[in-house]
Amino acid sequence: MNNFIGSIPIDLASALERTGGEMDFLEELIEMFIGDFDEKYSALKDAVNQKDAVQVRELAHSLKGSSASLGFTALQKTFFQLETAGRDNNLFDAEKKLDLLLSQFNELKTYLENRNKTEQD
Amino acid sequence: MLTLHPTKKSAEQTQLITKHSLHESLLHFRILLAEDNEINQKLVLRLLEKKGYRVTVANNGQEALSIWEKDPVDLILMDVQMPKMDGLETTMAIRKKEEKTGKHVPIIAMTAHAMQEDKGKCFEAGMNEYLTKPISPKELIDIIESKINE
Repeated sequence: MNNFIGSIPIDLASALERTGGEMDFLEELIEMFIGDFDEKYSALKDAVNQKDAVQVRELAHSLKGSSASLGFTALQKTFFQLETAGRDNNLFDAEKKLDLLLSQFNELKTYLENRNKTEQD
Repeated sequence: MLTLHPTKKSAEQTQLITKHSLHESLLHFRILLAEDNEINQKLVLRLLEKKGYRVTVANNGQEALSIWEKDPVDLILMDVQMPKMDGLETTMAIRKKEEKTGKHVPIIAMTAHAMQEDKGKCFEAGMNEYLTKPISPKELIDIIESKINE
């Protein structure tokens, strides 16, 4: 867990503030986000491959919104870049952003799993 | 229609006694929440229900418009970017229909676009207030209470 200090993928304090301090509720929403991620990521990937800028903008916008609410700062930033790329119809480096998203998502998942383990110990 | 069951803590209870009239009025205060993002929908819904508001949820602008037409509410929380019919179009449609009735429902925009230009678009469309996403619970509740007191 200590490996993540300096680049913590979730701003837990802000996220908790947004759920009115309810940790269980926040966890429920995080699980929902993680459970839906694969499906939403593939849709985004399809849109990038098909060079459908409008679809890229809409999907990235929605994912950016959820990430922002849950305090996933790194993901939020990348989704925002993809949303902007879609809006500007400039999908030039969108594929790179997709790779970045995947590594940021995996980092988040590892962080949360380690956090749960530490709590159980 | 989602009805709520407020859970009161002792501190909140004390506050509610001093704010009795406000509490009474919010029990009858109905809010339409138009938001397509499931996570943000759940978040805002929970915050509102905890405060004791009666909330109806719409998943897009079209749904919001048809719910509002059948059952006018006291306030609308309107996401700006939604599929089918966005928040701006929906607000314009509501304001147009209100011309015949003379009524005016307060519409609060919720948007991630923090730019002045987008704020202007919301007001031009007929929205009354503006909340920036991610939504701060305090700002949300403050803005609703200020509308109840108007």
